[in-house]
Amino acid sequence: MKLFNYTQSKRGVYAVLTSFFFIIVALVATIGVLFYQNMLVTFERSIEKDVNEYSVVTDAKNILFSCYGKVLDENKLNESCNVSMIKGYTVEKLGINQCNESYHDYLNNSRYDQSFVYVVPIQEDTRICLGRLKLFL
Amino acid sequence: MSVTENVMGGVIVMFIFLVAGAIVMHNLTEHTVSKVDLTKNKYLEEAYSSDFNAVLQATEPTTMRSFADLLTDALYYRQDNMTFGNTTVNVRDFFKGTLNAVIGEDRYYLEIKPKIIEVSLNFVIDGSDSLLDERQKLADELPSIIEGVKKKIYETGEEIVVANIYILGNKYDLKDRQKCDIYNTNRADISCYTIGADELYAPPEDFNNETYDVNSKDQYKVEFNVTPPYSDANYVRNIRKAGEKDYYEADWGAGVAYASAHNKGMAKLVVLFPVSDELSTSSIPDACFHISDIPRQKMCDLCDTNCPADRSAASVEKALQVAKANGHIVNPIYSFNCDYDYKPMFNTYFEIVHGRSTSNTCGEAVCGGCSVNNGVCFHPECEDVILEQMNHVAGETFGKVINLEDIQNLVYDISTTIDDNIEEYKFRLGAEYEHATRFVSERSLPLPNKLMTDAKLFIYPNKNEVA
Repeated sequence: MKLFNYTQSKRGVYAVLTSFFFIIVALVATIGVLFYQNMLVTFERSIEKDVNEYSVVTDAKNILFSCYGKVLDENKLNESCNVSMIKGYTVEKLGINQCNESYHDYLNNSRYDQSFVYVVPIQEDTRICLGRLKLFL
Repeated sequence: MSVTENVMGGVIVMFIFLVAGAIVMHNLTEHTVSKVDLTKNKYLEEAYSSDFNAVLQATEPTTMRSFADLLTDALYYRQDNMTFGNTTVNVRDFFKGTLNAVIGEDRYYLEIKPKIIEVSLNFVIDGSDSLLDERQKLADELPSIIEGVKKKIYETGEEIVVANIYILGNKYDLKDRQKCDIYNTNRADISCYTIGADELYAPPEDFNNETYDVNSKDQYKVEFNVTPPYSDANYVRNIRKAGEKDYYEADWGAGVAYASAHNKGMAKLVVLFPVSDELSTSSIPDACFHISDIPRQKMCDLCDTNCPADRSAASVEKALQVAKANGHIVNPIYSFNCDYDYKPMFNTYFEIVHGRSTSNTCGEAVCGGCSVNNGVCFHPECEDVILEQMNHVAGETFGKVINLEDIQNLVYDISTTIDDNIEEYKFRLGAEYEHATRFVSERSLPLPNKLMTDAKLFIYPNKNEVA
């Protein structure tokens, strides 16, 4: 009695090959999906950083308003306000509508990636002028 | 064969697995990106809103008024040049310069329009018979005019529209008082008053500060010197049997001043409609007020072609001054449709004065003050002057003249004019780009008459700012 014939042994080789091929394909697909997922996670993290920046900037602006007043008091602008969450800020009073131009710089010479600008009211004597508050991250 | 099937099966399963995974991942990514867009847009919206607050708080250097005050004043008085003491500020130029400096040229559009929650429609109608049709038509259509305006300003359902009719006539005369009976004054939103010399003009004693009540609603008469065209009322009364009524029944200028003053200081949009077919204080020439002989006086009234433009202009000027001071709109209704009430007695007067009989005085060559043209036209030579004066008062108060050629168009003409009044009650600055990405900040500001107004600032962000 013949335990194996030629056809049966051939079928065994193919089965091994098929399984091997199947495993390879599955592996590649899994790696691909994992890679894609990893890319997405990285992308989400960078986006969360951006989203976080907006809330940091808003908080920093509110802290500056609590230091200088909602209408920025020009007399107080000579002193810096402790806003640790940002790298620095500048306040520029615009020389429009007969207001005197002025510039206050509170940057700590470190490199910064981004800046955010707000138009702010600045008290000059009895009148309110306009200026730009620039926050650096 | 089965090996191939196994391989292909595996590939297909993996392919499906990959595609499904990619779709899920893609959806997740899209969701995350839109969440970020939302956060970024919310941040920009808040930042621009803060910018708008700053601009409104700033002070104009020469008048020391806040930008918000200047804007609402310019809107309320509907003029760009506002004068405070010796200083005149062009609000439009001033704002343009400021917004260009802080936001950037072509990056904003400012629009301010009042929140209209109450409209007062005031019709000042010549009480003479030649305007009988107009008074009746208005009485019939007033409810639908009121409903139309309510629909136009509808926002919350709490809007109020009222109509006041002021008929120029003698309130002590029952016949004149009855002219109000055709209006449905049982409705809470319709009122009718007969107003005459007592209401229209300041009596001489009011100019004496010791006796005059400065808190009175009639203070405007002294302030703007609203007096009858002939200072000696007794003289006119003695000369003419009808007394002063011959001029005050047509004095729509003083009538507009009265209606405007009696709606002063209220938080609502006030629109005034003088309705007349004559010059203010009538088209009867001045000379006729000095003739006591009745036949000659009546022939003078009808036939003298000296149009009393100056007398009328003085009255219209009072209307203009009071309406402008109160920020009210005047839309005069010109109704010169040749339906003057011709009395047969005129033929008798003509015979007495000219020594020959006639069947119609207005058809006679010697009578140019009236003419027959599908009806009797009273003083056609004054037609251009009436229109000119009506256009003047309308132009200065941001209203428009309604030329009522067909009385059937009364409702349409009035409704479209009110629509225009409401639409034009806006202050705009900058360029509006309808399809561009924009952030809108909105503020409610009070007008001088306590009416609230919506100020909207559209800011078009830089390309790199937008998510």
